[in-house]
Amino acid sequence: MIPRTDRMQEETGKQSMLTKIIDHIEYTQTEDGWMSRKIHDSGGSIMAHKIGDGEIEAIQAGKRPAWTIIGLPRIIVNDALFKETDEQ
Amino acid sequence: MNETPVAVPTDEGKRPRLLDMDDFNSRVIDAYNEGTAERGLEADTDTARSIVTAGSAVYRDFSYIAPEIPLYDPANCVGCMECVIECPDTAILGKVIEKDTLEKELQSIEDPVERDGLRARFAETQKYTTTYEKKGEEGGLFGIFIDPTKCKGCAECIEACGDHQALSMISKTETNLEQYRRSFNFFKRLPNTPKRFINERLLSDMMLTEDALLYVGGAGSCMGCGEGTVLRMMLAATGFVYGDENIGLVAATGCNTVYTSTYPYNPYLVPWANSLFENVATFGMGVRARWNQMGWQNKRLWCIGGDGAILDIGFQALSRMLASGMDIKVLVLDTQLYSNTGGQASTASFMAQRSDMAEFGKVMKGKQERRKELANICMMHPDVFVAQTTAAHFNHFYRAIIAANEYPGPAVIMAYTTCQPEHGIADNMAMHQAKLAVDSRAFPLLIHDPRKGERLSERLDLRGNPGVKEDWYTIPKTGEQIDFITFARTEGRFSKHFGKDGKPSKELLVAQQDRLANWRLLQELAGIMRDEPSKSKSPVKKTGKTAS
Repeated sequence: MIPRTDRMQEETGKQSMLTKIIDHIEYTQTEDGWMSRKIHDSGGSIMAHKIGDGEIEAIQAGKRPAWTIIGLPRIIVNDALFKETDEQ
Repeated sequence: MNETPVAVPTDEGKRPRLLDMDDFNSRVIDAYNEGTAERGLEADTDTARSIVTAGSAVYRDFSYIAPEIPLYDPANCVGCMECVIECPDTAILGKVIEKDTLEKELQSIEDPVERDGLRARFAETQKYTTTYEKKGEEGGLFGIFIDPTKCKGCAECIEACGDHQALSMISKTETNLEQYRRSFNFFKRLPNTPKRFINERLLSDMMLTEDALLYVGGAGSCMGCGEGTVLRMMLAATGFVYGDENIGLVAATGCNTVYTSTYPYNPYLVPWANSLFENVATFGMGVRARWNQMGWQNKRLWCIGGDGAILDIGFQALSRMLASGMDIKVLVLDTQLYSNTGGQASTASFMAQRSDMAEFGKVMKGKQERRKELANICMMHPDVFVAQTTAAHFNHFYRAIIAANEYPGPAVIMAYTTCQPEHGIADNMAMHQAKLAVDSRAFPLLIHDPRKGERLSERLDLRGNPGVKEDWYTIPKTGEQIDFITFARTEGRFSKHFGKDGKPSKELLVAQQDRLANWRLLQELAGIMRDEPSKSKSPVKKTGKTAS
């Protein structure tokens, strides 16, 4: 794949305003409960969402969240790569 | 040579068709898609006459030109439709469906995981679900689907989605690309959005209807091209009201004709013809006259051209047409230069803008002349409807197109559009830069409607511009002034005007004064009293030349 070119950044030297690419979806357990974030390929992230217990239990059991079935982004749960039931 | 009849008789014994569509869509398109056309297709009469079937670009596949594709998170979607409106390639479409209907359609999907994934594409939104449920009606589910064969990966939809963050980009793989294909095929099989979910007062909903989707994508325009969005939106607003049977297009040679008629691919579902660079308005007069003879007064005729074709080379033809009073509409794709021929300066280019024929060097520092304001000139022709608008201001844009179509005479719509390679901006910045062009007075919004009164101040409406009584718009929260320098700082075409310390050149400061002069003129014509009247006589001391 050819990396995307951000012409504005090249020509003006200004900070890129290019939309970042999602690298993975991260599920993390915090003091406030389970949170999910979309993580950019640059390391930044898009808004955190609080996740219900039922949803995270399904993920931990190897069921991919339905909204990620089309697109198949990588999922990381507490630093471990998510694997679907038939991959485990 | 295989002799093809000029007109193919129809089975029904009606008027002969100009072209055998089935033959074209299979034999010719297939040959081009397979790369065998040059050697495999014989020259024939149809090719010589350059007739292409409507919407043939639907068969064009861009799946492999971009490394990324949008990823949709329905939990964050509010159904605003902005991604659908702003996509230059008709690659992202929305639909509202009733729950029972969706479940019935999902029964055709054998794989339960795939079925779950497709069900999850549909979100409950306030706009289409709870609002209806509160009225005691069944709510609908709103879904967004991406056509991987049309998506060029520009990410304009992500920019349009903005803070909702329902869309982001993800890398393509062979696996997910096939998923996108299958899900879009499922989307196409779904019934049309029920009419009860389309609020005619909400212009953003127009693209939920088939009548408004008259540009199928598959055009050869650059990734994120601002022109594609403008063309789609003009057709949507016209088709929504008049239907696809009542629209005709004549396009002046330029970028727009190249990417919409790269043989054999045509993204238009309405009749289209290509004029010479200089005579689109004249061509339109001929078409209009003939249509009127045939009793087709209700059909809407749009002449399309870039700023080079309309402001420069075809300017006389435009003026003649406007003076005729004929019911012809003109859409100017204003990229502020000759995009198709390599980026030469046009009379629409901004002062200080770097382009071919107006380079930045030791003697010349970009364009020296002031920008020609076509909207102002058109307003001085008798009884011409004029609007200056952008696709990023979609309500303003749609209102301008609808009013132009209703107006019983000539209308000119100046639409600001980006040209990514020539402006030096990223592929996802068409909407962002168009908004900034308006906020910075580089390209003020306006509508001049002769039906509103006899005086210019009654006819000219500047609503939609921020801080309409001010010289420059100031962001209330931050106190930051948005001026032409602010705009220029974000585009490669002005980059050489900034020193290492970020200070603008004196030529750019003159350009800034030119934009202020134009804005003050518009304020005066519209009868707007400025908050702080200037004491200076004119913001531009020396017109036509930069200080040297």
